[in-house]
Amino acid sequence: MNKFKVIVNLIGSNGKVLVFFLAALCCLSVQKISAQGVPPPTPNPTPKVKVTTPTIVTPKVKVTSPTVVTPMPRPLPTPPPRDTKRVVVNESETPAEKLIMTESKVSINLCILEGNVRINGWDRDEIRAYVERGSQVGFKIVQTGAKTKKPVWVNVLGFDPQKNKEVKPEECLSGSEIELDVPRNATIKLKSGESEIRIESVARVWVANLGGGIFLNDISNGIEATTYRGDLMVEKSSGQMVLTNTDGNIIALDVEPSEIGDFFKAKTGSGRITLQGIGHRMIETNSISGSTSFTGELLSGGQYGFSTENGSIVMTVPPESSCRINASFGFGAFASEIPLQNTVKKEQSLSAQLGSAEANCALNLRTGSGVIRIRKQQ
Amino acid sequence: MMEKCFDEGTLQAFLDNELSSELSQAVARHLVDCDPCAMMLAEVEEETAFTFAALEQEFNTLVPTQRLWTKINQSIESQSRPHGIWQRLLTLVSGLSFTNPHVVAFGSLLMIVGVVSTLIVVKSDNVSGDIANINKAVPRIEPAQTERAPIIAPPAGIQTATVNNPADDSTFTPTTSPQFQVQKAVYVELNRKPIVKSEPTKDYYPPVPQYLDGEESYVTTIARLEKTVNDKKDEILTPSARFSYEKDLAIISDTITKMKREVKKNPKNRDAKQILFSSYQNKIELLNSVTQRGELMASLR
Ligand SMILES: [Zn+2]
Repeated sequence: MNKFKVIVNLIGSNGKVLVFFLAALCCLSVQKISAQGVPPPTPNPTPKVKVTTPTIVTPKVKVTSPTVVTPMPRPLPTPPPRDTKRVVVNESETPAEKLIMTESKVSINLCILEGNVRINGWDRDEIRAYVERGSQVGFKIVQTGAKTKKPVWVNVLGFDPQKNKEVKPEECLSGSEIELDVPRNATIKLKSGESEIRIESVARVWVANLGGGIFLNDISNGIEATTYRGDLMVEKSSGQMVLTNTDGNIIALDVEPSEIGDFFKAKTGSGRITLQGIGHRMIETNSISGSTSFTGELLSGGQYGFSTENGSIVMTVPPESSCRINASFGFGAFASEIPLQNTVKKEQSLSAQLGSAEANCALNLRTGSGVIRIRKQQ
Repeated sequence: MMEKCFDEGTLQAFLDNELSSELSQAVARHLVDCDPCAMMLAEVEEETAFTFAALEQEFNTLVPTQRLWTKINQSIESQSRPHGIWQRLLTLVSGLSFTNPHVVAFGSLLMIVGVVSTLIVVKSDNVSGDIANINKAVPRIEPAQTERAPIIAPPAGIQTATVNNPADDSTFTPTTSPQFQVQKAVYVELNRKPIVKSEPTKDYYPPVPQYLDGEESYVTTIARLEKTVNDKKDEILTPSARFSYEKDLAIISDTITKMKREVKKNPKNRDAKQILFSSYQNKIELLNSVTQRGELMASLR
């Protein structure tokens, strides 16, 4: 009944709103009740491998809860058990471990279904792979170096291709702990289902994770990382960076380009974007409802673009910063702690100069209905 | 001189754009000078995010904000497909517990009031904020109508078929009508006098073409992607992922609706147009992310 009170408060004294509300309420009750009349969804008759048919709880139905005409809660269909068709060859309690000599500059591809993943760069030209409580492990040499005949491209597999020729086992690794030691100059390409991933001290990383956090540290020559759930964090790394998260935060601390022209891009749905000590001169961020905070210097020659749908954008910069600001804030607001010059204001935008007019720096800020703040860095 | 601080409810309403433009300006002005309120705003933002997270588990929690309205709109839109209405009425009748006379009485009252008011609303409301929906026969019920937005009759038969590069709005042809000023956005700078905006002039509203230059290509791309995604999203998205997807989609659609209204009011408003197009782009990217997620899942099979 409290909920009903809230609704009543929400309606307030505006008669037109009341009319809308009743109309909406009526339509929604029709929908909700009809949803209850429909038999519960049956699982797909031909279930796909590895996809747990998700229990779909349509938010639009759930929003209708304030309607009082709901006799009983709708039972949620139980999700089918996780797929069991995966072929894990010789799965055992004994950890699997393999080692292979490679060139120092080697590309390593692998896919992981689930597990805690740690990949570390070391000073040897070898790959060591270790899996605890899970699949076997093996290497497939895709390409060798012309002179040394050592591998320059290796696929790490969830089975040993030398031993398991006739079965067609799962190529992806899985296990509770998966560890790889790789040459520092390695490039990692990793696809993953549900994993917590930590990669440190390698040259280059390409990683995509369906669910779970990604932590990257000391990557020297570029990152492209995507996760669909969980936090994505990059620290003390360099090179071009493209960081994407649909439902989690992005944090980048102390990163820089390794070549002129390397850009930094970060995009998230509802998570926050936190950037601190970014040395890239081309930065672009985008979020839907998450807020964005940037702390650090605005560099000469910099092209900065920060955009959100309705999150806030907070720029914390040294008071002596120089940059040309273009801000559009739709239904939001703009506020600056640092005095601006040559301000040209319009209904939903503003352009102004921060600091010296000679600065060759552009700061583009855009929000649909969030707040843009420029703060002094202490 | 510091004004009185605002309470959490007001700040929440500020975030949700539910304040009058005067109050909204006052809040924005105050926020620049007042760190405690700015901090509270940040906290309210966090709470909103948290509430959404909580909603994920407790779907029956109610958040009476703009977002709720957006959701309600969406629900109405999706449940007003013509073929389902009789079936729904049937199931409504069969699903109700008639043993309780209150339920019956309340239900029928609700039905009557609802149907009548819907009819009234439909008759008086021909303005849809979302161009993408104009072609649908189904009317949209928008809470934003309560903001007393000027009623602009949609132009019958005017269609701009030109498809330009979305990024290029230089070909946009503004009308020569007097400019309509909007007081929603607020610019405040520390140690400066607050901006006093002139009263809006509202004598004449020009006809607006159905699509802005460059808009149609976004709308068609989105329609195509939506079709693909809607076919597969049940398979691809987990319940929680589905929830954030729908939430993000609602937020973007909300911005699109608002910005379209702004551009309708004042076709010269390039800022609103820019934000509108960037929201279209965000929608495309959000839809694409579902496809990409599906591809990643498939590659792990
Ligand atoms: Zn205050």
